[in-house]
Amino acid sequence: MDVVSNVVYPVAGLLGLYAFVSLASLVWEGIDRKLVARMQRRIGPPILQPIYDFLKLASKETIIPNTANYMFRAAPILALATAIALLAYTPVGFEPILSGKGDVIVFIYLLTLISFFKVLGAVSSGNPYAKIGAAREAALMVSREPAMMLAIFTIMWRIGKLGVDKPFSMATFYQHNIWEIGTPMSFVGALILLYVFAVWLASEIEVGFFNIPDAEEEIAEGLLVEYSGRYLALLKLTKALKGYIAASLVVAIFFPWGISGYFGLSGLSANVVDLLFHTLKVFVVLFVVQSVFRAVTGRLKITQAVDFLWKNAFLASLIGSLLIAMEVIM
Amino acid sequence: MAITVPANQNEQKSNPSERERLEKRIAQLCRFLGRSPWVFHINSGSCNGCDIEIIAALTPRYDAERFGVKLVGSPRHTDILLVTGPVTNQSLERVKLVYEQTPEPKIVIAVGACPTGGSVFYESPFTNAPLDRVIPVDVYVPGCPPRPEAILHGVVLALEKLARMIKGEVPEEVNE
Repeated sequence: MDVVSNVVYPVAGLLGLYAFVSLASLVWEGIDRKLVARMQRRIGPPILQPIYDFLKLASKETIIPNTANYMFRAAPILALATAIALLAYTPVGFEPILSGKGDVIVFIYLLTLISFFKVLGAVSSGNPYAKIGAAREAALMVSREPAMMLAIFTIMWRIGKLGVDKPFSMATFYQHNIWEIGTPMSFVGALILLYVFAVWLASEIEVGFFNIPDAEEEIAEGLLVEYSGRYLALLKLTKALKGYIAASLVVAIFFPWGISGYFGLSGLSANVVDLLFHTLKVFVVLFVVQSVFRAVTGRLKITQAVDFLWKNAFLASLIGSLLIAMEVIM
Repeated sequence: MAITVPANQNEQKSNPSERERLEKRIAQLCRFLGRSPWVFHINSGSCNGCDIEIIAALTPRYDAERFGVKLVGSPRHTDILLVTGPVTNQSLERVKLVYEQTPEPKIVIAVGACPTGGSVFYESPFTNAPLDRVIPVDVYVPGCPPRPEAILHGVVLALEKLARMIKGEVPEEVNE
């Protein structure tokens, strides 16, 4: 066992990636607030506003309610730790750091675990608003994941047929992508699945239609109602990281092309250039799915959202998956 | 009295109106604090007049969000408490509870004539005005209802107090 290449390099890479992604995702929140403000003919806050917010929250008093138990304090830290671990499995312009040691199941598991910890923390706070938020988050969670899981398994299985090193690893997207399948039917299927992933991304980061668990005006910020100070800062950072990671998945599936090849780069510099280009693509995807969607739509009721996710997104996922899988099955 | 906004606002720079001066001061104080004042609004039996003026300070014309000001839904997240209304008996315990649940450092602004001195409910047995008999108040904004400029002025005073509380000093006002 070579300790340096197996432990030191991945850990250093993960720390560097974490530092970059947390900055980039917080800056994106600022860009998003600025863009939405411009769409509403306001001036909007400075782009670094979420970083100011983070520093302010970190310096404020942290109140633990009497009704809370120990999970209330553990949940924000566990959620952030899960998000950092998830970064090791996220395709960010190059193959994930731990792509050899876990596959898509680990990715989905960790992504769902973040929401799970948020729900657990909210339920442990003992606040009725937080419980409403937790119930909504759980309902949304079980409704949005099946459509995404069906689509991603079909895509990975179909890409695996084109010949990859390790089927169902998160690295497969950089060996073959969904547009290389080539048949007209799969092209239509891919477009339908792009729609499914856009809906899934919007419900994962909870904007527009799906801003139901954190409804500020309605249930006093739902899941976050009892959190203050440092814990709120951690949860805000986790939310930003999760948005970046979920958008990274969409980018990796549908727009995986890097630009380091055109410059003839290799090694670390190629990774840095690909990461920056990937971040740009993530911002473009989030601009469509988050900023525009948030500015032009309002919140649905939870029953309407669950209906929409099952009857619309899941159905579209089923059709798209069948179109992609068709010529192999028949 | 209507607020007149000139077609080209840049021409006004040599003679800034009161609102522009207050907004510059707020921006300067926010930069000095390096913070983002989040606001929670308590309605302790108000008639909604002051509430509408507070909303007016958040509309695109005044756009408080450009200073980082955000109206939050939970007292746990807030830095500034805006209290309106004469603190009726029903809301008395709630106002105290919300004040206790707000994390330090915090500022309380009493908006309107009711929390300042009781207004028409003065010495009424069912109200507990003024507000400082219930919780410590930092800034009073009298008026029935106060105009958004008055609320902005109150926010300036509150931010100066917050700066003194956190950094121990207040920056000089710059006249451009």
